[in-house]
Amino acid sequence: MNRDEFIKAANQAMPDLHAKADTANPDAIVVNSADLHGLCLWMRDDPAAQLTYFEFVTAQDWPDRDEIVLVYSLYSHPLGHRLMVKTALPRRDPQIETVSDIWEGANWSEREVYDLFGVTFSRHPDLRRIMMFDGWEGYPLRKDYTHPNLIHRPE
Amino acid sequence: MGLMGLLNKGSVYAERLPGASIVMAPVNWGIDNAQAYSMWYMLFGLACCAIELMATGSSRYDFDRLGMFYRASPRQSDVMLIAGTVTLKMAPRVKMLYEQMSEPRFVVAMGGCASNGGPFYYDSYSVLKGVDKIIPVDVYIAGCPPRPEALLQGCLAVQKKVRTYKLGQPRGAAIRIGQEANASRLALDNLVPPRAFDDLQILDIRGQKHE
Repeated sequence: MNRDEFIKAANQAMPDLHAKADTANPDAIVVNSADLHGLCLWMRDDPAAQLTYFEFVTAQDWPDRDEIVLVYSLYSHPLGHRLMVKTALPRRDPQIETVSDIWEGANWSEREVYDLFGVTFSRHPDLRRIMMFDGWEGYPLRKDYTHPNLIHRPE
Repeated sequence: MGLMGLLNKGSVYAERLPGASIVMAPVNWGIDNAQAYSMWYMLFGLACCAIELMATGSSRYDFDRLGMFYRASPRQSDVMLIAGTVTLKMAPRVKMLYEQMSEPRFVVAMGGCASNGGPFYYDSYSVLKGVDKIIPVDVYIAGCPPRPEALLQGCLAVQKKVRTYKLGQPRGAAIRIGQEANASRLALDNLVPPRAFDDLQILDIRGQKHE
């Protein structure tokens, strides 16, 4: 199943989804953040998709677009195909529903995104920092992040 | 050379008494050398320097000939080799482990990261810029990572400090093992050089030399 077949099948199964092809990545589709959890559930259980393996979730910070884009990478061991799902969140107070109830492996990956980008995953069982220690302020991988320890390399 | 020759080599009062094999030497000399040749180090690999540390401990470079063995507990170790990048998250643990070591204790900052942050000095929010910000360092070794020869020279420098160190007195200035130590093995002339690979012959299963 390639990307375009995915989009067709998903939009057929969920008429309100409006999944689109991503312009930057030939493997990626774009969905609204509110639809992501339902889509993931469908992608795991649908016999033609069977995306049973959660590879990772990461994020991109776009200050000029005022967006944080989450990128989910999924793989199907039985069928051997891969899909990436992108969804945009507002930069101020980004929130999305967790997928750790669908794939257990998403637990720590989402904690990492929470730690470094400040994305809150609702209904996550254990949303704590994972890389930085407790009490760390700010989200280091955001573009506008500053820290007293940070010395910029002279030009 | 024998024992007498060995003792006379150092600035030690040694005398063979007539009719008996008794050697007299200052107690300090014995204690200092015993300490210097039993520097058990705490295995503290934090990053890629630990790979060089392991290489130095293995048979090709052989820490054991300096009397250095790794210990897994700070309570049993005399020297702490900070081999790698100390992050801000790790820093309190490093300090706590250092405080658990008993005196006399020594610290070697191995490589650029432990000395001053190294490649993470600029543009890093999470790396401690030098382990000497939290614990006193006795020997700094340059390199990223330092070659085993440089690490061995650093350990010899620690031994030198151990011999002159007196408990309760301020220790001397930190020793810096420079870049030139990485470039040549000349600094280690007094050590047995590692066997060159050219000496090795690869034999096949019947004992024939392999082409």
